[in-house]
Amino acid sequence: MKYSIFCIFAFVLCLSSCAVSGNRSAAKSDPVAPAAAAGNLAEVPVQKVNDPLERFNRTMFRFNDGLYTHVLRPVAHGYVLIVPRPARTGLSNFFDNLQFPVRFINSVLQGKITRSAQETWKFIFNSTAGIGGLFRVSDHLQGLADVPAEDFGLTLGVWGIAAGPYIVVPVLGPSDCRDLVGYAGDYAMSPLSWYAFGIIHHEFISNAVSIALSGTRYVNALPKAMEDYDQLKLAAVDPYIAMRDAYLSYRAAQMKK
Amino acid sequence: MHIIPFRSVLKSSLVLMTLYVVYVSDAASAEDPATTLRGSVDEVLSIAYSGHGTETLPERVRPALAKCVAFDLVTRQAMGPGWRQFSASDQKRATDLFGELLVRTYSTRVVGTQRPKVAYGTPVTLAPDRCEIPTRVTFPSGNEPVAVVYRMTRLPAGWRIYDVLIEGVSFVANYRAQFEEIIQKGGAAAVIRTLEAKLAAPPASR
Repeated sequence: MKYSIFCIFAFVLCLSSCAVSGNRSAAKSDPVAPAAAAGNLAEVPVQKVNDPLERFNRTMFRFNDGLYTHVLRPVAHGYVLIVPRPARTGLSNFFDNLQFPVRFINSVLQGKITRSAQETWKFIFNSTAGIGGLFRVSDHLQGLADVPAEDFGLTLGVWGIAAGPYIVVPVLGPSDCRDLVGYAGDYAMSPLSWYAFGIIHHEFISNAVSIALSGTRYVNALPKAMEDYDQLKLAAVDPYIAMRDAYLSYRAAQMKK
Repeated sequence: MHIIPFRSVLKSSLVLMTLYVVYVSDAASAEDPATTLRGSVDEVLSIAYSGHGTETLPERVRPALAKCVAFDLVTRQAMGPGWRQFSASDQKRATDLFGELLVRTYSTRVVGTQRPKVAYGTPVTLAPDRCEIPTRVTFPSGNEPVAVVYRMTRLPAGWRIYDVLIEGVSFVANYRAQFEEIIQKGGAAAVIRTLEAKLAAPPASR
């Protein structure tokens, strides 16, 4: 009930750092028809899902499941033993803060000027008072506590581009065509890839630094991602569909924010 | 000529009066959904974070959840139109099993020892007897806050939860999607078999 299911995929996404994703065009309508009386609550329509690749997707889902079980979960367990929770939270906050350009640029691209200003203030407060982003001091400031994170997949959706078929990506998990493109866009906007693109030139920064940072970011997100995935699987009677519905609904909800 | 408009005015004012009376008498006799929800969430959280460990949590939290969640409505919605083909005893069995899955699922979500904080938003009316209440759950551990929306309906016994949306993902719609194929292929028997297998499996492999 409480936190939930979707955190899961939210985090499988997070493996990929930024959410790739969702079926905003087939945005789900209120599952309960507004006119329904309590006695008619039973009529929850099943969301129409664009999943022509279901056979491939199910295979990939099983492959990922095996990968999580045999490789990523052990890595996550080991990491948790070595790195205490406060450090993991701090790192996660740090990388989140570092991703500011992604959220800022996408807010601007979507014409959400207030949101881009909020992101900027968040970045300023968290980088200074939050010691380089290790602490999310902005959570305690009114107006900055709950700013929805924008990404390029959402931007494409706002621009009217259809989500396309649902697709389970090796390692990263659930996505759709638009979010895959969005993922590539976010990758380019992320400061972690700027060195590779020649945007940053600095004697202390090299490809090795860039790769090490990216690696740390992914591994640091793993324990939470695995926990969320396990919870989804634990609750589901059909994990593939549970994940697909969760992912698409989650992205549809993000799109509305 | 004037009779028809007059009649309709009379009619609508009667309807309005009736609604008003219903509204007033309800306000006097029943708690509002927000108060009910707060009480329920507080009760469930205080049980979940009482420090008695998670092993016995399903037993301890079951009565509190059964009090605030309309398990029968949740199950019925999750099964969709196929529910009508269930026999009365299958409906009962499916409701019991699904309710149990819900209780256990909730219990596994309780992690850590520090009780999360819940901030309540303004209720949104969906229909005269239904509303949704947005909440935001924050964790002392510093994990990302989570948006949880409770959908509630008024039953004779009072306001009850019939769906929960976590970050936009409806619990009921998610299971509805999962059960769709199971019901199409095997009806009530397949649903009950699936739920029994799920509940019988050890937690690690479930």
